[in-house]
Amino acid sequence: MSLIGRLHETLTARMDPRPLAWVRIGVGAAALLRGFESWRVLGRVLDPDRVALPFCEALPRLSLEALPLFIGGWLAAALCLLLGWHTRLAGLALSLAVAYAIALDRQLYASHLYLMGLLSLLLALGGAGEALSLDALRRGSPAARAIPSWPAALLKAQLSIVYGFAALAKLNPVYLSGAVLAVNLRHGGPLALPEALLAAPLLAALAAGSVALEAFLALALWSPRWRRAALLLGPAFHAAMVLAIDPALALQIGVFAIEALSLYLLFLELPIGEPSAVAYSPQIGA
Amino acid sequence: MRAGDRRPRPWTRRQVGVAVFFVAYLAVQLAVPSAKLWEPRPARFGWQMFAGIAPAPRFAVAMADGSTREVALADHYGNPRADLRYEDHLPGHLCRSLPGARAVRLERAGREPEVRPCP
Repeated sequence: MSLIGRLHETLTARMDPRPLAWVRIGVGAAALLRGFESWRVLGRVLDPDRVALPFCEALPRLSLEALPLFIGGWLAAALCLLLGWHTRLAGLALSLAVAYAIALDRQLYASHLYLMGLLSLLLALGGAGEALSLDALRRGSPAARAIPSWPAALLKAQLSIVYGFAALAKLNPVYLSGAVLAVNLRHGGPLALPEALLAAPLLAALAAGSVALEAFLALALWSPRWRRAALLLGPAFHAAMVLAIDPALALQIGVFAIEALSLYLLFLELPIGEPSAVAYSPQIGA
Repeated sequence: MRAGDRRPRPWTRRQVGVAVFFVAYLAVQLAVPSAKLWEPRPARFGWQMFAGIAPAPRFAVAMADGSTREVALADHYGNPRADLRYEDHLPGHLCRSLPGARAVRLERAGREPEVRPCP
């Protein structure tokens, strides 16, 4: 089949809406958590006594007085996305709020935030409110409707892109020496690695292992042969990061973990819930 | 369409729109991080989480009374990050915000210390 033919097939294929609904719930929860963190960080960045670094001078700068309103909108959009209430509008509003926050000041960029903006946009476009949602309840239809599968295909590709480029970017002498881990690992407390394990050769081995694991995850999730291993190793990897990295970064890493692990559900081939509950109706166009 | 007819169905306008979005999205998501691989780590929009360390320069302000004031980045940035080029904006900010500031001295790893006079 030609490339155009394959593209046509991808764009017209349909899927059970529930895996995407679980992604929506995960991203909504992550956005709720991140909303409170954004309140704290934005409050500091918008302080007029501090350096302002707008990406775009023409973009109106949020005032400290308007910050609670902005965060209120963010949290409302996140909650609506989580519950699947006016899902499309909630997803678009959340992606716009994230885009505005990133564009507002160069101090506000974070990879997990950028990922949140992309995921909420794709969820808004993808019929993520067709199941496990207040929208579905409101519709009163007992059976979820099949949805186009191309948004899920983009979300899966996005996860591989994140892992793949994360691995490629780490192929540098500084990271592979273990120095980045030495700086960012948790020091002190019951969850800190023993000092004996923080020797340079071990950190270098750990660094190389993490690169290999990210590269593996980027590819293995697509492989029927390796998917099961990826589905086990991925959550373990994210959990280890949350536990082992400096607690000051735990929230960011936790949000990233929720986003990434939510996307794993799209790779599961097992049906989630009762398959008979889904009626594949042709009501939604591609 | 006759049974067994394998001619491809024509694309609807909506499908063309979706196809353009689909391809553009993937193209951007592959092209931008690829380009960012050639920039110093960590670069934005490149999925370069924890890919490198960028030690921040050290700043000190020479005051009119002859004293020197060490600068803590957290006092002047709401969210200090490894991908910010502090030397581009902090000296000007210090000169404007600290009454009596005469010059800003900055030290960067592997470079000679630099003194930037306040205007």
